[in-house]
Amino acid sequence: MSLCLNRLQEERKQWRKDHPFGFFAKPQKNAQGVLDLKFWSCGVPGKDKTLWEGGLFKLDVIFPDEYPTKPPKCKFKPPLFHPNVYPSGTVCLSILNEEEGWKPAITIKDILLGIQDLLDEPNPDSPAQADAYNLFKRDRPAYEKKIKQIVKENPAL
Amino acid sequence: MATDEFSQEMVQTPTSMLEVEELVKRLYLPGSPALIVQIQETLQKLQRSPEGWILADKLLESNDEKVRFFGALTFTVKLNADWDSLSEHDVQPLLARLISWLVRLVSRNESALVVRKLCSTLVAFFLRPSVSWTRCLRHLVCSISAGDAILEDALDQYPPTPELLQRLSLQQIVAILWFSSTLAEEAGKVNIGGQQQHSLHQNLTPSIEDVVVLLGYAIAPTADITLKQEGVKCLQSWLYFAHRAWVDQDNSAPLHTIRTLVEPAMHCLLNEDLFDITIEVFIDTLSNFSIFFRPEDMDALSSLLGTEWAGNRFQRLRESDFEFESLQFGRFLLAFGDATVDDLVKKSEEQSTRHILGMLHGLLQCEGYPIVEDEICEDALEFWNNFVDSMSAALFAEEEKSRPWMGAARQNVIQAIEECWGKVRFPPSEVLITWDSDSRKKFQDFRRDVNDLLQSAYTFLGAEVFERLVHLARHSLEEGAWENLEATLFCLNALAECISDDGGPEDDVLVQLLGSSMFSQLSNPDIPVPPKARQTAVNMLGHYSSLCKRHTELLPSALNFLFTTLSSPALSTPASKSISLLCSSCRKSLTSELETFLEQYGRFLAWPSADISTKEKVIGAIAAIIQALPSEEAKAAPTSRLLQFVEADVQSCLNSLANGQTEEAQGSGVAALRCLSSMGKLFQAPDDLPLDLDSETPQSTFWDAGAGKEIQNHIVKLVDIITGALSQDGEIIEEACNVYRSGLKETTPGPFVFPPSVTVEFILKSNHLTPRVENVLTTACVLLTTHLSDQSIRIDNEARLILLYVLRIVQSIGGPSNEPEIAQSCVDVIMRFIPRYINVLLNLEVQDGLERLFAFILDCLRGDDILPKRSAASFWAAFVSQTDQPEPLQSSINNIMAHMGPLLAVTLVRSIAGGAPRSDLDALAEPLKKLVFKQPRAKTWLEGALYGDAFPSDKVDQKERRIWLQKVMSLRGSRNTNQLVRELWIASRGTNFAYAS
Repeated sequence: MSLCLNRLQEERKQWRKDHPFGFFAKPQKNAQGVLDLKFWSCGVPGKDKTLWEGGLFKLDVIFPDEYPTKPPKCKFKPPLFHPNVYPSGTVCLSILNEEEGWKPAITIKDILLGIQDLLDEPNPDSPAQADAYNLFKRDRPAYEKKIKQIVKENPAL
Repeated sequence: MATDEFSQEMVQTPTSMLEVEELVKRLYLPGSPALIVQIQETLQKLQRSPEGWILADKLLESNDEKVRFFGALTFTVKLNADWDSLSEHDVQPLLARLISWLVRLVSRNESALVVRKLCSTLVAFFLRPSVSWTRCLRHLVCSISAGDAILEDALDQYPPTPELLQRLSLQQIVAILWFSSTLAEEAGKVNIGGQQQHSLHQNLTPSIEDVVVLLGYAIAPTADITLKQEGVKCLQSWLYFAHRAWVDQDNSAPLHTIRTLVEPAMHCLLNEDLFDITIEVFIDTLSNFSIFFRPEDMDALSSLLGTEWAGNRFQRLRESDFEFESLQFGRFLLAFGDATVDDLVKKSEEQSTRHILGMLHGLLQCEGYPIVEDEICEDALEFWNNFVDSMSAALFAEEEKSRPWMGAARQNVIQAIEECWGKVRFPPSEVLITWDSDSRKKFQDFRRDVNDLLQSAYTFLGAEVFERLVHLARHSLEEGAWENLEATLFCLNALAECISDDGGPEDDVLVQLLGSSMFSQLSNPDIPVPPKARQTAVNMLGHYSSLCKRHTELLPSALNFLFTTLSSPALSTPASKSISLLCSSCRKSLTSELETFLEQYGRFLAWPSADISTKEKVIGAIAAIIQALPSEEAKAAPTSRLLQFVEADVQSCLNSLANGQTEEAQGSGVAALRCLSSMGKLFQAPDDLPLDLDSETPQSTFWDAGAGKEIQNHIVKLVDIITGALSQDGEIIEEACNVYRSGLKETTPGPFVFPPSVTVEFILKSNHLTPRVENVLTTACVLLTTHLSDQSIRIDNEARLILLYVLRIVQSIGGPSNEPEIAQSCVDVIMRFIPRYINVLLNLEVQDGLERLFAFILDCLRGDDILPKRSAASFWAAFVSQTDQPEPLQSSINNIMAHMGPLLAVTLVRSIAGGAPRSDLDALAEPLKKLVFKQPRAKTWLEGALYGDAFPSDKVDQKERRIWLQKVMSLRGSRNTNQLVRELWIASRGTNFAYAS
């Protein structure tokens, strides 16, 4: 447990010192008004020169007590229309899977940059929601139109 | 080609020293990459040959600097690669040779290039694991002063090192400093924690004393400037090393003596020529390794910051001198602040602390816009964020009584917030347009960091920070200082999430601002308000919607403002969002404004900013208010008014189509449907309404007949017209489904809550060729799901029609792999028949219909497509669990299971035994668990599948399969089955696949 909190404290420090443009990430306060280091509210901007450019997508990052042995859970809020995002908003990404690509050395910055990459490069091998996945596979122009609309509804500024 | 041939001819193995030297010189001349590679390979062969040691000596004798460099390099190569070729007796003479070379070359004024290389050779010697060269530094000092290599045993016969150093020339000491730096750098690269590091420490410990003497001499106030420069660089290397070594507490004690160098190093700071390199040392060490400094060092640094020297440097920064040196001073100050932040919080009243805090405040007050001009305020803000964090930590760690520091620390935070307020102001638009997008982003990032500060500070500032900001805002409003007003509203927005949903003392303060003339001024087209200020005010209403809910008297002017801003394309999106949010959450308080809003909506439709997304938000907002009207009858007229607006889009869709403008027609069609579904969503009764469970009032029948029914028919007709006109457009189909679904989710009657038969009628209009028919199938799912609970009415007839419809689709598409998306949706619909409509499913009155459906679902489970597979797994898990249906249903189910059970078992086992992708295993474990838990014949079926020919892997033998089945059966469907599933999968695929588990 203390390993988890120490690491998160350090993550927070590092994030403040240096974080990629347009992203934000900070621990939230719990009901008592105390900072809860295991619950972060984050924002991932769409990458420049992609369909997602100009959008900012909010997600919660929830760290388990076993962090960094186990990966955090990332949940778009509200759930995002994307082939690799479950209807609940949870992101399906190999580096966030304990049995696949998770390593304790992965930082919050790595995670958020990974999610930013995922936005424009969905992984058709691990669909998480039918709506976005089907449209992505069957009707690319319609998929792209929908993404543009989502970006417009979630502007970065 | 020609060059290659030529080069092949050129590079021949040299036969004399002269030829070797020529070849080395060629290596450093320009040439084709291929040639260089060949020369390198030839020279490497020579280096690695047994004669390499002699070659190194000979090369060092050369007249050419490059060749001598190569000589030193050759020694290093030999040390690292051919160490084993040396006997025990060779080691000491080799060291003597190397030292001797260093002594000779330095005395001949050798170039830095060669001397540095030779120093690194000596370090490579030191780092050989079997070497024990305990007093390496003193050995060098004594040898250099003796004019040749001496024996290490003889070191005691020489005068003390400080005395010897005084006799050495500048070049000689510099060479020793280079050796010393390289030693620290290379030693620092050794892996932390390993045995190697441990013995390295032991070997280094005796030399640390000499390092301190050497550095003390080099950076003494009286020393030569060149010496000081090299000394400070060497100190930096040793501090890096010490930082890494400090982790290993047992070994750090000898390193503590390095601390005696802090004082002379501080003197170097005062020297203009040494400032750059020395300040770097202090910034690094304070930021990363502040425990290195003793309390007295910190006091000394604190005093240094109080000197005239520091005052002058600070002043330059304050006057916007953002040159590198000046910024470095700022960073030094900030690093000191970060290192002592806990003291700064708790001793903020003390004189020396006050002075430092004053300077740290000053760093937020330099002239210029953040990042774009002012390059220090971002780092300064980080310090103040740390300051607030430290306060919060102390606040929760200590009892209230023991916080005498609180008052003064709070004042500091309030001051920092006000300073930040000055920094978050947007520039006037003529300046803003000159910024590139990177600058804008960085500026926004800075504002976000200020947000952080405000939110963290609220914990101990409470309502006071609101009072200050509201005061600032009202003042800006009076003066028409719009950029200032924007900055204040921005800060207030940041704080919105801090106040509780029930309100608090902040409410009264905020009402003073929100209830002032602010919104009417911002709405006034005659006042030149910058768009950014309007935008932040629009956002403010989004952030403070719950406040508006508590103070509904604020709503009319706020909404009026929002409706005016709808005209601006830049603001219409956030404004429509806020309108939607406010109207839906305060719907009850706004019924009196309904008429005005309807008129405003009519006007808005004529503006260019009225696009699909803004229209749907605003029309939905108005629908929410209509929903809150007290009687169903009263809702009819305004709903019809809204439908008239939608009808305009429907008409324009038809007109465009008649003119052959398909794209425009599609746009209008989508707009109409999205407006309808948005209305439908906001017509849903809010969740937070208290449910009156005892209520005897019957549900209104207004929408079932008469005027209400007409409105429903009108909506259905509008959807029909569009889907009829654009039946081949996937987006249209999807949006039409959304209209139906908006009503399905609602439990109380309303204009969008159609009878189930109407929804089914819509569903039946489609077939497998309808674009995005998955959405239609999902609509069927929702219809069934909302009629699954015992409280809901039964819809057996509609369910029957849906089942026939699904069967038709299944038959039309053939196998699931032809249309995986449709297949998945079909399975999802059939799944919804369990358990309430299982009678409908089992009594499907089409010849072979049921068999076809079950075979289809089994195919889905068997196939490669992930989503149909998962849906099928869920279906089977649900179906095999049906064991207590009334007769004769249960008998039918049992008959089906008798036939399907073995097939299902084979399919599951094939998938689990390596056939399915690993990520599907959890999904596949579900039907297996239910099968084991619910079906008495499960064991027999699984035996058949495991022991028969269908088992796909030869890596798991019969005995292992039997044990596996025993384990699975004994778990009786509990969660641990998933682990067994995984194990069988890995075993069947072979252990290569056992990654990371």
